[in-house]
Amino acid sequence: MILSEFTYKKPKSLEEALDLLSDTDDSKIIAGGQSLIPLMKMGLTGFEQLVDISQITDLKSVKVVDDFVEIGSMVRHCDLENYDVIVSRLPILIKIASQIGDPQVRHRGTIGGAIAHGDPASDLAGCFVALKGSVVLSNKKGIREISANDFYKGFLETGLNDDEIIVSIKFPLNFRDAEFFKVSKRAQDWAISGLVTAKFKDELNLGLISMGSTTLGVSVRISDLYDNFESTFESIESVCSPTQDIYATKNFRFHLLRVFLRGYMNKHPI
Amino acid sequence: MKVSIVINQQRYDTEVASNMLLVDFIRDVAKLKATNVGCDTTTCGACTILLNGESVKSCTILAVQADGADIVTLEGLYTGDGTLHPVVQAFGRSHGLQCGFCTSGMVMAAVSLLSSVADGQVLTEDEIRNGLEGNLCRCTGYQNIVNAVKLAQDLLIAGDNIIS
Repeated sequence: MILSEFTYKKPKSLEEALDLLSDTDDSKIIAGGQSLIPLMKMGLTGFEQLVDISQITDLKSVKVVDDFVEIGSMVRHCDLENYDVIVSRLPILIKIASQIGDPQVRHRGTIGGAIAHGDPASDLAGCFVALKGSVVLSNKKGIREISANDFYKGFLETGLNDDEIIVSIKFPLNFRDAEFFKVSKRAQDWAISGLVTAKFKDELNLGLISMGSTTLGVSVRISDLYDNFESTFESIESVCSPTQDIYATKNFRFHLLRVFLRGYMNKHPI
Repeated sequence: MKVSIVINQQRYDTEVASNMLLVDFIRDVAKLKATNVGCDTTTCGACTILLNGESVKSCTILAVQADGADIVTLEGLYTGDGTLHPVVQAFGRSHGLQCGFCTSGMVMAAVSLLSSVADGQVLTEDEIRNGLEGNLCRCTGYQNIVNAVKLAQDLLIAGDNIIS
């Protein structure tokens, strides 16, 4: 049960939703609610007003614009595989989204909600960072775009302002060799550690999952990775600050990351 | 807030608090008690129902979010003509339950899983296990549950039944 009461609004348009956000200082967007409702139940968060954006059809489209696929923020995880362009050009996204939570969660959860939540253990956020994606944000004054790397600030903290709504997520298509590695303890569980890779020219971009207080992005030169693995790994290690918990020590998380990178290199020998 | 929710083909028009969960609406307003609250943390799946034909955890949806939705609970699988739904039959014949607490959620998850299968496709055991990932059975009766879903699939293919 949720103890705190709130006002609930279900606007039909983005304009109406943005108006509602600016009406009160303590508003929160609810998309699929698969992370937000559990947090509210635990009493970790509460709001005066919830703005449900599930009726805004403009947020449910998928389109190709220039060299990007632009996915509306309210596209659900289970819907991604229904778009040919995602199946053919972003299969890594489907691979990852099809492992989020469980079927019930994927029937509700949305790509925008997952990106906005900013959980350091989010596989989708790791993909978003590795693929050098960006978010398109809208407020009453206009639209701005933030790169994935700049979007994540800290534990459940993002660059999304209180008066803004994520309109869409953009993924570039100029990458190769995207791979996803993850170790978790149980079915439907978060990653103890995870890695998404994407190759851009002579660089390998890494999305690091559960390796710090938020999703981390690091880019390494492919030649450095293959020729000087240890020193390159040290440079990756230096940006990580994983926690130690009942599932793993910091060192075990680093060990997994090392195994993931070796796995990538074995699969893609130079 | 006023909501209008159809559960098992019956419409409920009523006033609810914004913080009421859908599972509480189903159990306390519609008085349908098959849907259980297990963990109340989006983990166990005992509260699984069909919302517009798809499995969801009703403990993680607000009743107000379900305004206008079409919901089916375990009770809704019974047509009233004395025959059981093929998935329910299969759970009985395969002894796909021990204490029964997870069963309504397991059955609804299985109904959703089997209805999502394309024509002519047959789910493998791995696919069935993955499809039931969101449902926990603390009696550890998974083997018979998987057997039940396999049998339900066979019954549906043989009987050319359409699950609604």
